[in-house]
Amino acid sequence: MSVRIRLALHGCTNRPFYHIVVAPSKFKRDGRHLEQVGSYDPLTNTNNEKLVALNIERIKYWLSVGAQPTIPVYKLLGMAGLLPIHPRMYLEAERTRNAAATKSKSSETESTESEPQPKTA
Amino acid sequence: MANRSWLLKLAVGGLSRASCRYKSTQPPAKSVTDEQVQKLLTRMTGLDLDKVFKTRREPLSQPLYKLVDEHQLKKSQMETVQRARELLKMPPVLPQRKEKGELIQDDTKLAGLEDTNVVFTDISQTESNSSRRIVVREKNGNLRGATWDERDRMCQIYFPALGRQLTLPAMLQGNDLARLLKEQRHKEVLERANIQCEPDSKDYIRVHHMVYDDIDQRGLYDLLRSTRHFGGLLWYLMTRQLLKGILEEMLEKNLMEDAIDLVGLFKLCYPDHELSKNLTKAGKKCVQEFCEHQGWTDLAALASTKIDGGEPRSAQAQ
Repeated sequence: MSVRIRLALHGCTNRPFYHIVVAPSKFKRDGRHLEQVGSYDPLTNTNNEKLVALNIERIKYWLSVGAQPTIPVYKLLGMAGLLPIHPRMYLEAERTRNAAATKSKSSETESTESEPQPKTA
Repeated sequence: MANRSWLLKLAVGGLSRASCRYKSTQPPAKSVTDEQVQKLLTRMTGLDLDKVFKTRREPLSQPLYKLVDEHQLKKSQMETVQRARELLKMPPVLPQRKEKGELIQDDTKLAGLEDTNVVFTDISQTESNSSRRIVVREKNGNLRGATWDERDRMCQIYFPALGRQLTLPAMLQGNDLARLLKEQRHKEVLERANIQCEPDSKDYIRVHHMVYDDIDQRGLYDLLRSTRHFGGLLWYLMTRQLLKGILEEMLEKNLMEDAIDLVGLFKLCYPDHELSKNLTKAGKKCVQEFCEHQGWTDLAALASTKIDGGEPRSAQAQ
Protein backbone atom coordinates (compact mmCIF):
# COMPACT_ATOMS: atom_id res chain seq x y z
CA MET A 1 0.00 0.00 0.00
CA SER A 2 1.32 3.40 -0.91
CA VAL A 3 0.10 6.96 -0.84
CA ARG A 4 -1.31 8.06 -4.18
CA ILE A 5 -2.33 11.32 -5.74
CA ARG A 6 -5.43 10.37 -7.69
CA LEU A 7 -8.79 11.50 -9.01
CA ALA A 8 -11.88 11.03 -6.85
CA LEU A 9 -15.11 11.19 -8.83
CA HIS A 10 -17.73 13.57 -7.53
CA GLY A 11 -20.42 15.55 -9.29
CA CYS A 12 -23.66 13.82 -10.25
CA THR A 13 -25.23 11.75 -13.01
CA ASN A 14 -24.01 12.82 -16.46
CA ARG A 15 -21.92 15.53 -14.81
CA PRO A 16 -18.54 14.22 -13.64
CA PHE A 17 -16.24 16.40 -11.54
CA TYR A 18 -12.99 15.15 -10.05
CA HIS A 19 -11.23 16.12 -6.85
CA ILE A 20 -7.48 15.57 -6.95
CA VAL A 21 -6.81 13.91 -3.60
CA VAL A 22 -3.93 12.39 -1.70
CA ALA A 23 -4.94 9.03 -0.24
CA PRO A 24 -3.44 5.60 0.47
CA SER A 25 -4.44 3.14 -2.25
CA LYS A 26 -6.44 1.07 0.23
CA PHE A 27 -8.95 3.90 0.88
CA LYS A 28 -12.03 3.96 -1.33
CA ARG A 29 -11.81 6.01 -4.50
CA ASP A 30 -14.36 8.64 -3.40
CA GLY A 31 -14.02 8.06 0.32
CA ARG A 32 -11.62 9.04 3.02
CA HIS A 33 -8.48 10.89 1.95
CA LEU A 34 -5.52 12.56 3.58
CA GLU A 35 -5.87 15.86 1.76
CA GLN A 36 -7.53 17.40 -1.27
CA VAL A 37 -4.95 19.13 -3.46
CA GLY A 38 -6.97 20.22 -6.42
CA SER A 39 -9.84 19.69 -8.78
CA TYR A 40 -10.38 18.77 -12.42
CA ASP A 41 -13.45 19.50 -14.50
CA PRO A 42 -13.49 17.21 -17.55
CA LEU A 43 -16.32 19.10 -19.24
CA THR A 44 -15.61 22.21 -21.33
CA ASN A 45 -16.97 25.52 -20.04
CA THR A 46 -18.63 28.35 -21.95
CA ASN A 47 -15.20 29.81 -22.81
CA ASN A 48 -14.16 26.50 -24.39
CA GLU A 49 -11.73 25.61 -21.60
CA LYS A 50 -11.20 22.77 -19.15
CA LEU A 51 -10.32 23.95 -15.66
CA VAL A 52 -7.79 22.31 -13.38
CA ALA A 53 -6.90 23.65 -9.94
CA LEU A 54 -3.64 22.43 -8.39
CA ASN A 55 -2.34 23.25 -4.94
CA ILE A 56 1.26 23.21 -6.21
CA GLU A 57 2.76 23.79 -2.78
CA ARG A 58 1.07 20.75 -1.25
CA ILE A 59 1.51 18.54 -4.35
CA LYS A 60 5.24 19.24 -4.26
CA TYR A 61 5.32 18.28 -0.60
CA TRP A 62 3.50 14.99 -1.15
CA LEU A 63 5.71 14.13 -4.15
CA SER A 64 8.74 14.84 -2.04
CA VAL A 65 7.63 12.32 0.61
CA GLY A 66 6.98 9.63 -1.99
CA ALA A 67 3.33 9.91 -3.03
CA GLN A 68 2.73 8.34 -6.45
CA PRO A 69 0.44 10.14 -8.88
CA THR A 70 -1.86 7.89 -10.89
CA ILE A 71 -1.61 8.09 -14.67
CA PRO A 72 -4.48 10.58 -15.18
CA VAL A 73 -3.03 12.85 -12.48
CA TYR A 74 0.46 12.41 -13.91
CA LYS A 75 -0.91 13.53 -17.29
CA LEU A 76 -2.50 16.60 -15.74
CA LEU A 77 0.70 17.51 -13.93
CA GLY A 78 2.63 16.95 -17.16
CA MET A 79 0.30 19.22 -19.09
CA ALA A 80 0.67 21.85 -16.38
CA GLY A 81 4.44 21.75 -16.72
CA LEU A 82 5.09 20.46 -13.19
CA LEU A 83 6.28 17.01 -14.28
CA PRO A 84 7.66 15.77 -17.62
CA ILE A 85 5.11 14.80 -20.27
CA HIS A 86 4.07 11.13 -20.02
CA PRO A 87 5.16 9.18 -23.16
CA ARG A 88 1.62 7.89 -23.61
CA MET A 89 0.47 11.46 -24.15
CA TYR A 90 2.68 11.85 -27.20
CA LEU A 91 1.42 8.49 -28.42
CA GLU A 92 -2.25 9.37 -27.92
CA ALA A 93 -1.78 12.76 -29.52
CA GLU A 94 -0.15 11.21 -32.58
CA ARG A 95 -2.85 8.58 -32.86
CA THR A 96 -5.58 11.23 -32.64
CA ARG A 97 -3.86 13.29 -35.33
CA ASN A 98 -3.44 10.25 -37.60
CA ALA A 99 -7.06 9.22 -37.10
CA ALA A 100 -8.21 12.74 -37.95
CA ALA A 101 -5.99 12.80 -41.05
CA THR A 102 -7.27 9.39 -42.24
CA LYS A 103 -10.87 10.43 -41.65
CA SER A 104 -10.47 13.64 -43.64
CA LYS A 105 -8.72 11.72 -46.45
CA SER A 106 -11.49 9.11 -46.62
CA SER A 107 -14.18 11.78 -46.66
CA GLU A 108 -12.31 13.49 -49.53
CA THR A 109 -12.11 10.27 -51.57
CA GLU A 110 -15.81 9.59 -50.91
CA SER A 111 -16.75 12.99 -52.21
CA THR A 112 -14.62 12.54 -55.38
CA GLU A 113 -16.09 9.04 -55.99
CA SER A 114 -19.66 10.31 -55.69
CA GLU A 115 -19.04 12.85 -58.49
CA PRO A 116 -19.82 11.37 -61.93
CA GLN A 117 -16.54 10.38 -63.63
CA PRO A 118 -16.07 11.75 -67.23
CA LYS A 119 -16.28 9.00 -69.92
CA THR A 120 -12.94 8.27 -71.52
CA ALA A 121 -12.97 7.73 -75.29
CA MET B 1 -24.64 77.07 -13.99
CA ALA B 2 -24.43 77.45 -17.73
CA ASN B 3 -26.72 74.98 -19.50
CA ARG B 4 -24.73 72.45 -21.45
CA SER B 5 -26.46 70.36 -24.02
CA TRP B 6 -25.32 66.76 -24.28
CA LEU B 7 -24.11 66.91 -27.86
CA LEU B 8 -22.26 63.64 -28.40
CA LYS B 9 -23.88 60.22 -28.08
CA LEU B 10 -21.82 57.67 -26.23
CA ALA B 11 -20.35 55.10 -28.59
CA VAL B 12 -21.59 51.57 -27.94
CA GLY B 13 -18.98 49.25 -26.52
CA GLY B 14 -16.62 51.92 -25.33
CA LEU B 15 -14.80 53.65 -28.13
CA SER B 16 -13.26 56.07 -25.67
CA ARG B 17 -14.24 59.63 -26.36
CA ALA B 18 -11.22 60.52 -24.32
CA SER B 19 -9.13 59.57 -27.34
CA CYS B 20 -10.60 62.37 -29.43
CA ARG B 21 -10.70 64.95 -26.62
CA TYR B 22 -7.27 64.31 -25.25
CA LYS B 23 -4.72 66.96 -26.03
CA SER B 24 -1.35 65.32 -25.99
CA THR B 25 0.75 67.10 -23.41
CA GLN B 26 3.85 66.11 -21.56
CA PRO B 27 3.27 63.83 -18.56
CA PRO B 28 2.88 65.65 -15.22
CA ALA B 29 5.97 66.33 -13.14
CA LYS B 30 4.42 64.77 -10.04
CA SER B 31 2.71 61.42 -9.75
CA VAL B 32 -0.83 61.13 -8.40
CA THR B 33 0.48 59.48 -5.21
CA ASP B 34 2.71 62.48 -4.38
CA GLU B 35 1.96 63.90 -0.93
CA GLN B 36 1.38 67.46 -2.08
CA VAL B 37 -0.83 66.33 -4.99
CA GLN B 38 -2.88 64.14 -2.66
CA LYS B 39 -3.24 66.99 -0.19
CA LEU B 40 -4.65 69.29 -2.87
CA LEU B 41 -6.95 66.61 -4.32
CA THR B 42 -8.30 65.79 -0.84
CA ARG B 43 -8.92 69.46 -0.12
CA MET B 44 -10.77 69.98 -3.40
CA THR B 45 -12.87 66.84 -2.81
CA GLY B 46 -14.35 68.49 0.25
CA LEU B 47 -16.16 66.75 3.07
CA ASP B 48 -19.94 67.00 3.11
CA LEU B 49 -20.99 64.71 5.97
CA ASP B 50 -24.59 64.69 4.76
CA LYS B 51 -23.44 63.32 1.42
CA VAL B 52 -20.88 60.84 2.76
CA PHE B 53 -23.32 59.44 5.34
CA LYS B 54 -26.36 59.75 3.14
CA THR B 55 -29.45 57.77 4.23
CA ARG B 56 -29.44 54.37 2.64
CA ARG B 57 -31.50 51.23 2.86
CA GLU B 58 -30.38 48.83 5.54
CA PRO B 59 -32.09 46.00 7.42
CA LEU B 60 -34.53 47.39 9.96
CA SER B 61 -33.24 47.67 13.49
CA GLN B 62 -34.20 49.39 16.71
CA PRO B 63 -32.94 52.98 16.81
CA LEU B 64 -30.23 53.58 19.36
CA TYR B 65 -30.44 56.63 21.63
CA LYS B 66 -27.49 57.80 23.69
CA LEU B 67 -27.40 60.43 26.41
CA VAL B 68 -24.04 62.15 26.17
CA ASP B 69 -22.43 65.25 27.53
CA GLU B 70 -20.80 67.92 25.42
CA HIS B 71 -17.33 66.39 25.59
CA GLN B 72 -18.58 62.98 24.42
CA LEU B 73 -20.65 64.61 21.66
CA LYS B 74 -17.63 66.46 20.36
CA LYS B 75 -15.56 63.26 20.49
CA SER B 76 -18.15 61.30 18.52
CA GLN B 77 -18.36 64.14 15.97
CA MET B 78 -14.58 64.00 15.50
CA GLU B 79 -14.77 60.23 15.11
CA THR B 80 -17.44 60.71 12.44
CA VAL B 81 -15.23 63.14 10.55
CA GLN B 82 -12.36 60.66 10.78
CA ARG B 83 -14.56 57.86 9.43
CA ALA B 84 -15.67 60.14 6.60
CA ARG B 85 -12.04 60.90 5.71
CA GLU B 86 -11.37 57.15 5.49
CA LEU B 87 -14.35 56.69 3.18
CA LEU B 88 -13.14 59.53 0.96
CA LYS B 89 -9.69 58.01 0.31
CA MET B 90 -8.98 57.93 -3.40
CA PRO B 91 -8.82 54.53 -5.16
CA PRO B 92 -5.53 53.93 -7.05
CA VAL B 93 -4.97 55.58 -10.43
CA LEU B 94 -2.74 53.29 -12.49
CA PRO B 95 -1.69 52.96 -16.11
CA GLN B 96 -3.21 50.06 -18.06
CA ARG B 97 -1.48 46.76 -17.37
CA LYS B 98 0.64 45.25 -20.12
CA GLU B 99 -0.75 42.15 -21.83
CA LYS B 100 0.34 38.77 -20.55
CA GLY B 101 0.30 35.36 -22.24
CA GLU B 102 3.95 34.69 -22.96
CA LEU B 103 4.95 31.27 -24.36
CA ILE B 104 6.51 28.95 -21.79
CA GLN B 105 6.95 25.71 -23.73
CA ASP B 106 6.64 24.97 -27.42
CA ASP B 107 5.36 21.36 -27.69
CA THR B 108 3.54 20.80 -30.95
CA LYS B 109 3.92 17.00 -30.61
CA LEU B 110 1.05 17.22 -28.12
CA ALA B 111 -1.31 18.73 -30.69
CA GLY B 112 -4.53 16.71 -30.88
CA LEU B 113 -4.35 15.43 -27.31
CA GLU B 114 -7.08 17.81 -26.15
CA ASP B 115 -9.67 19.52 -28.33
CA THR B 116 -9.88 22.55 -26.02
CA ASN B 117 -7.52 24.68 -23.95
CA VAL B 118 -6.79 23.41 -20.43
CA VAL B 119 -6.29 26.13 -17.80
CA PHE B 120 -4.18 25.26 -14.73
CA THR B 121 -4.49 27.47 -11.67
CA ASP B 122 -2.20 27.28 -8.66
CA ILE B 123 -4.50 27.37 -5.63
CA SER B 124 -1.71 27.49 -3.02
CA GLN B 125 -2.96 29.38 0.02
CA THR B 126 0.27 31.34 0.48
CA GLU B 127 0.11 32.97 -2.96
CA SER B 128 -1.67 36.24 -3.64
CA ASN B 129 -3.92 36.65 -6.68
CA SER B 130 -1.51 38.99 -8.44
CA SER B 131 1.38 36.52 -8.29
CA ARG B 132 -0.62 33.32 -8.65
CA ARG B 133 0.72 31.02 -11.39
CA ILE B 134 -1.94 30.42 -14.02
CA VAL B 135 -0.93 28.63 -17.23
CA VAL B 136 -2.83 27.40 -20.26
CA ARG B 137 -2.04 24.28 -22.33
CA GLU B 138 -3.42 25.08 -25.73
CA LYS B 139 -4.95 22.74 -28.31
CA ASN B 140 -1.78 22.89 -30.41
CA GLY B 141 0.27 21.63 -27.47
CA ASN B 142 1.92 24.93 -26.47
CA LEU B 143 2.11 25.92 -22.84
CA ARG B 144 1.69 29.66 -22.22
CA GLY B 145 0.96 32.03 -19.38
CA ALA B 146 -2.69 33.04 -18.98
CA THR B 147 -3.93 36.36 -20.34
CA TRP B 148 -5.31 38.96 -17.94
CA ASP B 149 -8.88 38.02 -18.85
CA GLU B 150 -8.18 34.36 -18.00
CA ARG B 151 -6.33 35.33 -14.82
CA ASP B 152 -9.18 37.50 -13.55
CA ARG B 153 -11.70 34.76 -14.27
CA MET B 154 -9.70 32.00 -12.57
CA CYS B 155 -9.04 34.09 -9.48
CA GLN B 156 -12.71 34.92 -9.27
CA ILE B 157 -13.69 31.22 -9.61
CA TYR B 158 -11.31 29.89 -6.97
CA PHE B 159 -10.95 32.96 -4.74
CA PRO B 160 -14.13 34.95 -5.25
CA ALA B 161 -14.09 38.62 -4.29
CA LEU B 162 -17.25 39.94 -2.65
CA GLY B 163 -19.61 41.63 -5.07
CA ARG B 164 -17.63 40.68 -8.17
CA GLN B 165 -19.16 38.81 -11.11
CA LEU B 166 -17.44 36.33 -13.40
CA THR B 167 -18.39 38.25 -16.51
CA LEU B 168 -18.45 42.02 -16.92
CA PRO B 169 -21.84 43.35 -15.74
CA ALA B 170 -24.10 44.80 -18.42
CA MET B 171 -24.24 48.14 -16.59
CA LEU B 172 -20.58 48.74 -17.37
CA GLN B 173 -20.85 48.42 -21.13
CA GLY B 174 -22.77 49.51 -24.17
CA ASN B 175 -26.30 50.88 -24.08
CA ASP B 176 -26.87 50.16 -20.39
CA LEU B 177 -23.89 52.30 -19.47
CA ALA B 178 -25.14 55.07 -21.74
CA ARG B 179 -28.57 54.96 -20.11
CA LEU B 180 -27.15 55.13 -16.58
CA LEU B 181 -25.02 58.13 -17.48
CA LYS B 182 -28.07 59.82 -18.99
CA GLU B 183 -29.86 59.24 -15.67
CA GLN B 184 -26.89 60.88 -13.86
CA ARG B 185 -26.00 57.72 -11.97
CA HIS B 186 -22.27 58.25 -12.46
CA LYS B 187 -21.36 57.47 -8.87
CA GLU B 188 -23.11 54.07 -8.99
CA VAL B 189 -21.26 53.16 -12.19
CA LEU B 190 -17.90 54.08 -10.70
CA GLU B 191 -18.60 52.19 -7.48
CA ARG B 192 -19.54 49.09 -9.47
CA ALA B 193 -16.46 49.40 -11.67
CA ASN B 194 -14.29 49.68 -8.55
CA ILE B 195 -15.74 46.46 -7.16
CA GLN B 196 -15.73 44.54 -10.43
CA CYS B 197 -12.42 45.43 -12.08
CA GLU B 198 -8.81 45.75 -11.05
CA PRO B 199 -7.57 49.39 -11.10
CA ASP B 200 -5.13 48.76 -13.94
CA SER B 201 -7.50 46.72 -16.11
CA LYS B 202 -8.75 47.84 -19.51
CA ASP B 203 -12.44 47.89 -18.49
CA TYR B 204 -11.85 49.89 -15.29
CA ILE B 205 -9.97 52.58 -17.20
CA ARG B 206 -12.50 52.61 -20.05
CA VAL B 207 -15.49 53.02 -17.71
CA HIS B 208 -13.79 55.67 -15.60
CA HIS B 209 -12.76 57.70 -18.63
CA MET B 210 -16.26 57.50 -20.12
CA VAL B 211 -17.80 58.69 -16.86
CA TYR B 212 -15.29 61.51 -16.43
CA ASP B 213 -15.79 62.61 -20.04
CA ASP B 214 -19.54 62.67 -19.64
CA ILE B 215 -19.28 64.66 -16.41
CA ASP B 216 -16.95 67.17 -18.00
CA GLN B 217 -19.11 67.62 -21.10
CA ARG B 218 -22.30 68.09 -19.11
CA GLY B 219 -20.77 70.04 -16.24
CA LEU B 220 -21.96 67.55 -13.61
CA TYR B 221 -18.91 67.83 -11.35
CA ASP B 222 -21.05 68.18 -8.26
CA LEU B 223 -22.24 64.58 -8.61
CA LEU B 224 -18.79 63.38 -7.58
CA ARG B 225 -17.87 66.18 -5.21
CA SER B 226 -17.36 64.87 -1.64
CA THR B 227 -17.00 61.29 -2.92
CA ARG B 228 -13.84 59.27 -3.28
CA HIS B 229 -14.01 59.55 -7.07
CA PHE B 230 -13.53 63.31 -7.21
CA GLY B 231 -9.76 63.05 -6.92
CA GLY B 232 -9.63 60.70 -9.89
CA LEU B 233 -11.82 63.06 -11.91
CA LEU B 234 -9.57 66.02 -11.09
CA TRP B 235 -6.45 64.08 -12.01
CA TYR B 236 -8.01 62.99 -15.31
CA LEU B 237 -8.94 66.58 -16.19
CA MET B 238 -5.54 67.88 -15.08
CA THR B 239 -3.52 65.40 -17.15
CA ARG B 240 -5.63 66.20 -20.19
CA GLN B 241 -5.67 69.95 -19.55
CA LEU B 242 -9.48 70.05 -19.58
CA LEU B 243 -9.70 72.64 -16.84
CA LYS B 244 -12.10 75.24 -18.25
CA GLY B 245 -15.31 73.46 -17.31
CA ILE B 246 -14.39 72.66 -13.77
CA LEU B 247 -12.90 76.07 -13.12
CA GLU B 248 -16.08 77.70 -14.39
CA GLU B 249 -18.17 75.52 -12.10
CA MET B 250 -16.00 76.32 -9.10
CA LEU B 251 -16.24 80.07 -9.78
CA GLU B 252 -20.00 79.94 -10.28
CA LYS B 253 -20.42 78.01 -7.04
CA ASN B 254 -18.19 80.49 -5.16
CA LEU B 255 -15.59 77.83 -4.36
CA MET B 256 -12.65 80.23 -4.59
CA GLU B 257 -10.35 78.15 -2.38
CA ASP B 258 -10.94 75.14 -4.62
CA ALA B 259 -10.16 77.26 -7.68
CA ILE B 260 -6.91 78.44 -6.09
CA ASP B 261 -6.03 74.82 -5.30
CA LEU B 262 -6.74 73.83 -8.91
CA VAL B 263 -4.34 76.44 -10.23
CA GLY B 264 -1.86 75.36 -7.54
CA LEU B 265 -2.18 71.75 -8.73
CA PHE B 266 -1.52 72.85 -12.30
CA LYS B 267 1.66 74.65 -11.22
CA LEU B 268 2.72 71.57 -9.25
CA CYS B 269 2.14 69.17 -12.15
CA TYR B 270 3.51 71.35 -14.94
CA PRO B 271 6.15 73.61 -13.37
CA ASP B 272 8.00 73.98 -16.68
CA HIS B 273 4.91 74.99 -18.64
CA GLU B 274 5.10 78.59 -19.87
CA LEU B 275 1.77 79.23 -18.15
CA SER B 276 3.16 78.20 -14.76
CA LYS B 277 6.18 80.41 -15.23
CA ASN B 278 4.00 83.43 -16.07
CA LEU B 279 1.76 83.09 -12.99
CA THR B 280 3.17 85.57 -10.50
CA LYS B 281 0.20 86.52 -8.34
CA ALA B 282 -0.87 84.54 -5.30
CA GLY B 283 -4.24 83.78 -3.76
CA LYS B 284 -7.48 84.66 -5.50
CA LYS B 285 -5.88 86.92 -8.10
CA CYS B 286 -3.88 83.91 -9.34
CA VAL B 287 -7.10 82.38 -10.65
CA GLN B 288 -7.95 85.49 -12.64
CA GLU B 289 -4.41 85.60 -14.01
CA PHE B 290 -4.62 81.90 -15.01
CA CYS B 291 -7.86 82.50 -16.92
CA GLU B 292 -6.43 85.58 -18.64
CA HIS B 293 -3.33 83.68 -19.78
CA GLN B 294 -5.48 80.82 -21.08
CA GLY B 295 -7.57 83.25 -23.07
CA TRP B 296 -10.78 82.54 -21.14
CA THR B 297 -11.92 86.15 -20.86
CA ASP B 298 -15.41 85.32 -19.58
CA LEU B 299 -13.93 83.24 -16.76
CA ALA B 300 -11.35 85.91 -15.99
CA ALA B 301 -14.18 88.46 -15.66
CA LEU B 302 -16.10 86.07 -13.40
CA ALA B 303 -13.00 85.46 -11.27
CA SER B 304 -12.41 89.20 -10.85
CA THR B 305 -15.93 89.64 -9.42
CA LYS B 306 -15.30 86.82 -6.92
CA ILE B 307 -12.00 88.08 -5.59
CA ASP B 308 -13.63 89.87 -2.71
CA GLY B 309 -16.28 87.22 -2.06
CA GLY B 310 -16.19 83.42 -1.93
CA GLU B 311 -17.30 80.91 0.70
CA PRO B 312 -14.60 79.75 3.05
CA ARG B 313 -14.00 76.04 3.04
CA SER B 314 -15.44 74.22 6.10
CA ALA B 315 -13.00 73.45 8.90
CA GLN B 316 -13.71 69.73 8.50
CA ALA B 317 -12.58 69.70 4.89
CA GLN B 318 -9.09 71.06 5.73
